[in-house]
Amino acid sequence: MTRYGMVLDLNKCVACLGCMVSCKMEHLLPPGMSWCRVLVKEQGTYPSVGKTFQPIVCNHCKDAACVQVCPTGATNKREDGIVVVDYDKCVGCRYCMMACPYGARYFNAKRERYFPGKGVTPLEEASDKELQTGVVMKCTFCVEKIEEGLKKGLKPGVDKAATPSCVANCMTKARYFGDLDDPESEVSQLIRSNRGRQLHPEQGTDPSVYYIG
Amino acid sequence: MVKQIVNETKGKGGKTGKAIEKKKDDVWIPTCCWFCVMGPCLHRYHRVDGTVINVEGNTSEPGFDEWTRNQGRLCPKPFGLIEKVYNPYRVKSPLKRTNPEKGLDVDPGWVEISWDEALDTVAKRFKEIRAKDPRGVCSTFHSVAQMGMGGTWEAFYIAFGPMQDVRGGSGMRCGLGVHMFANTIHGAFRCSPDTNNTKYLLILGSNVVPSGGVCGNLNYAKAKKIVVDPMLSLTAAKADEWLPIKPGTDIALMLALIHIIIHELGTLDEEFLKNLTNSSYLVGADGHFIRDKSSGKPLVWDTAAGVAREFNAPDLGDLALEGIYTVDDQECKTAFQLLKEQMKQYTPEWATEICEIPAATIRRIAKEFVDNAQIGSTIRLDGIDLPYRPVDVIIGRPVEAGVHSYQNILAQHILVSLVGALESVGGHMGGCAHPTYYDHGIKPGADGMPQPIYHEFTWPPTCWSGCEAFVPFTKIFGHAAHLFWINMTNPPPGLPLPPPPQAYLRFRNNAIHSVGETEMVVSAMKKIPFIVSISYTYDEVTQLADIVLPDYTELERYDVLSPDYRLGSGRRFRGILLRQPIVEPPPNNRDISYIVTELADRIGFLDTYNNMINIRFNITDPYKLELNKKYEWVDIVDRMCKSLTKGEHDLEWFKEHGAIITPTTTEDQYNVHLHMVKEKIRYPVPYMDVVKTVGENLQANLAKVGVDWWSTKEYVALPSYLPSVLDTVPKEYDFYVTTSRLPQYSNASNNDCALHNEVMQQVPGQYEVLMNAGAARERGIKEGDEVWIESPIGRIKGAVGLSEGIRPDTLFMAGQFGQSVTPVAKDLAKLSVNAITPISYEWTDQVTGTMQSTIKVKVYKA
Repeated sequence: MTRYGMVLDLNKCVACLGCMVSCKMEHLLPPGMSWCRVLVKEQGTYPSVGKTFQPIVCNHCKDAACVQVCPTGATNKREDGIVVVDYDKCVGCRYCMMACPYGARYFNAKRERYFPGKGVTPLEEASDKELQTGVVMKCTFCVEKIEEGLKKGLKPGVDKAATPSCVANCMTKARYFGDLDDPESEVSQLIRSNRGRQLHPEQGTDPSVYYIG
Repeated sequence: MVKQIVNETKGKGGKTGKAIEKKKDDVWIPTCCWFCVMGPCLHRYHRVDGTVINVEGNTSEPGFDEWTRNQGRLCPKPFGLIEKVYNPYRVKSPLKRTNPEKGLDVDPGWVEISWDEALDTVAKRFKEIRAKDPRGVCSTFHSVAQMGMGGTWEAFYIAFGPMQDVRGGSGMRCGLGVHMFANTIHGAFRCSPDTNNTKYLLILGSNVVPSGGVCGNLNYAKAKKIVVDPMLSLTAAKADEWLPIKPGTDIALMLALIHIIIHELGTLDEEFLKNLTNSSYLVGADGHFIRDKSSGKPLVWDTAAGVAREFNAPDLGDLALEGIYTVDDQECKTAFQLLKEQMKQYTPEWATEICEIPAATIRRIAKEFVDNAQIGSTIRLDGIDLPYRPVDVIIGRPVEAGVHSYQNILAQHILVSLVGALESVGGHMGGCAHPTYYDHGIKPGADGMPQPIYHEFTWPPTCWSGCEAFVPFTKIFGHAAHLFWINMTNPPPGLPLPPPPQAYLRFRNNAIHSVGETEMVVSAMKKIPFIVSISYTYDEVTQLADIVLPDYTELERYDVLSPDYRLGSGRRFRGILLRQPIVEPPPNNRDISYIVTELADRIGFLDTYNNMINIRFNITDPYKLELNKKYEWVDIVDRMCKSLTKGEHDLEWFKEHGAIITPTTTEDQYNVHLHMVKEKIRYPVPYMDVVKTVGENLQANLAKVGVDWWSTKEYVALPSYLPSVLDTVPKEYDFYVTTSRLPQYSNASNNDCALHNEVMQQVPGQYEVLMNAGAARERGIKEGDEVWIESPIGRIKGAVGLSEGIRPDTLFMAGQFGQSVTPVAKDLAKLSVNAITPISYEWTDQVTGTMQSTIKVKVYKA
């Protein structure tokens, strides 16, 4: 069985926000919505102060709270561990947003434009074709790239064309992707050798996103 | 346990369940990006049904992921190029002004005109001016336009005749100071660590880690980093240690480090100092090299022979590094002896009083620096033995731009020289060498060091910046452009200036926001009777223009980057890279090359222009342009492709493959070191006799013409501590302001990209006026409060962000915002420190000509 997961190296992330821009462009996300973010936090008091950068995405939890509460089956978990939303089934009730312990879900209430009063740009036209309104959205691990890649015999996490764009583009190589069920995959090895941590393990959701560093 | 549902994904992202619509046009197109000096990077853009929707690092050809700067990765900036294509505020037709009154808040009354009318209007005016003196036109342009990525712009600029050169990084864009001394010292355009091999970096005031793009990140990550910065920048946050230095005192730290290495540790790379620097040159009582009476060559002390000999005498014995000697009855000392004596006073205890870094910390850093340098070690790369000194000192704009910047740059180079890390493996390298100048840089001069390049004193000056008269070293890679704007508004009394410029031709940069004292620059610009703006958007300079010529964005046009143009930091590859159109441009816009070709033809110098294209792009027979024929840019690009590949590949081949690249050899990467050893050339450090000599000549020349208001006292051979110019600011201005390069914006003009601006909000403090939380509490200022930031020349109002990661006496403001006209950018309503940064002769470094970048202000609630 395959269970796709991501490893994020906090030592390497420099908060350039390339992943955020990359995700927004990959999915043509509207203003105000970012499926991938970097949380920048300051800790301490001058001069003993530091900054931490924590990239976050949907955790694609093994026991995903969002899947459990979805009344229509719109949010569902694929065999490969990726949690997706079927927009055609989503009724916009947003239970999943309340259930998600990570705040990783976003409601696309209505069409927002980057240039109010200046019409719709070709990018936004493309976005409109992909993104419905009145539904909940979130990081998909770029599932379409993975599927297209697999059809071509590519390996997600190894071959760029089959890898989530935030991982493929990350300029510090702080992000890794692969099969958590394969003990020999890069992600499995990184988690083992670096004591990979999940966010809020006490929630019992068993996230597929691990942090190292 | 969650029930797992098998879901065949059909739509994008597996979300809609709709069948994928078959696209008529769905391609990835290879191209390259060079929007910052860390490039070029290889990218490919995704176009679907005529719309460019995405970009990624290009790894489609062998070696692309291994040797290129970006290694298949992306920094945040190229996404901005997509946004620019679809910016609804683009200028989409040539325009002419109908309202003669000019001002940033005055409607120009644009009317659309035809290209013929626009080009004829410009050509007629320029032709008249050029017939009298081409210097009647002044010009500024984006930095990449001079790096071979601006079509035929540069050929036009040169062939037109000497325009008044107002470009230069006096503002936010560039550090500037390092350029002329990187060249003087090691024949380069700029300096950077040997990124692939360095292990220990002392980083002063530079946000290089995120802003250095992919190259900066991938390589710097491996080194131990000590960041010295008044603010906990993103670079400092990722460092092993952050030292919050008092702004403007970096020189004290560097001098103390030199003191410790020489006087306390005594661990020096003596072999390097004796053989590859001027440390052993003898210096007389007048502060100049002692020279052989007949040959005029500088002398060194040969300890074996016990006599002074010419620096390049055959069979020289071991040279004296230190000591006092007598030559021709004249007492003299080695250059290193003088350095040692001068550095004696700069103890860590002295420095700590000034820079506020504890003496024990300074000692520890010095020890770590020396230990990591591994003096004496060599490394064999591809069969070549090279010195291995994996340490470097990086200085950022607040340190290398401003009064005393020469002292800082010299101290930086002396620091790395003491441990032999200049041009060593892992050490301090020259990057981005420009072949046209590069050869000059390491051509041996008469004194056995690189031939220096500087302006001969010219009086009266021929340019309104007066650089030839006041800042001679700006001849190479530098230009004190801000002096131009000062002289246009408030020139020093009695300064004879040429006739005022009659026209200003601007291509893409924004002098109004990238210099300082915004109001002064605007008032100076308004004095120029005819302004032509080549621009893609309605920005501040365009607002003052008479004619606007809308050009293509980077995703709508061609460029070819030739293989020898630059190597740059890392020096991992050489190549021929194509930039190609990804999408169709707006129908009534034109490429920069079309615009300047038409102007050259209509003004009447097509022949010299075509000749310059042949020269600048190395187009050789049989592909050379005929001199009196008008060519389309795409034809010239095809000729470049064929010429550079000796007929092997044409444009069509490059459009498919994107680039030809090969990895650099060890000889390429360490060519400066190998060249210096082979040709027996020494680096002109630690003793900058040439600067002292040029300064003395300058002083004499200025005295002859009666100028007593421009000092040359900083033209010294050895660095020294000089009190900061900020000490002269009244005490009521009790905050320093420091600035930094932001990774999403640096060198990319992305502040008119809405998506970028939205994402940027994720990092607190990058936009705001950032203030220490404790200092704010003392003043009753809370997060988000509106405050006035007032410098001696003006005040601006904005919201405060609070942070513990900044000194209590320092504010942080980026310099990339503050636009009042540029669509989208102006909606940010963020401040720019440039607006209240005073520009004046007093606040200009006498040697590098750079303007003061750290300033002092007072802060109070609005």
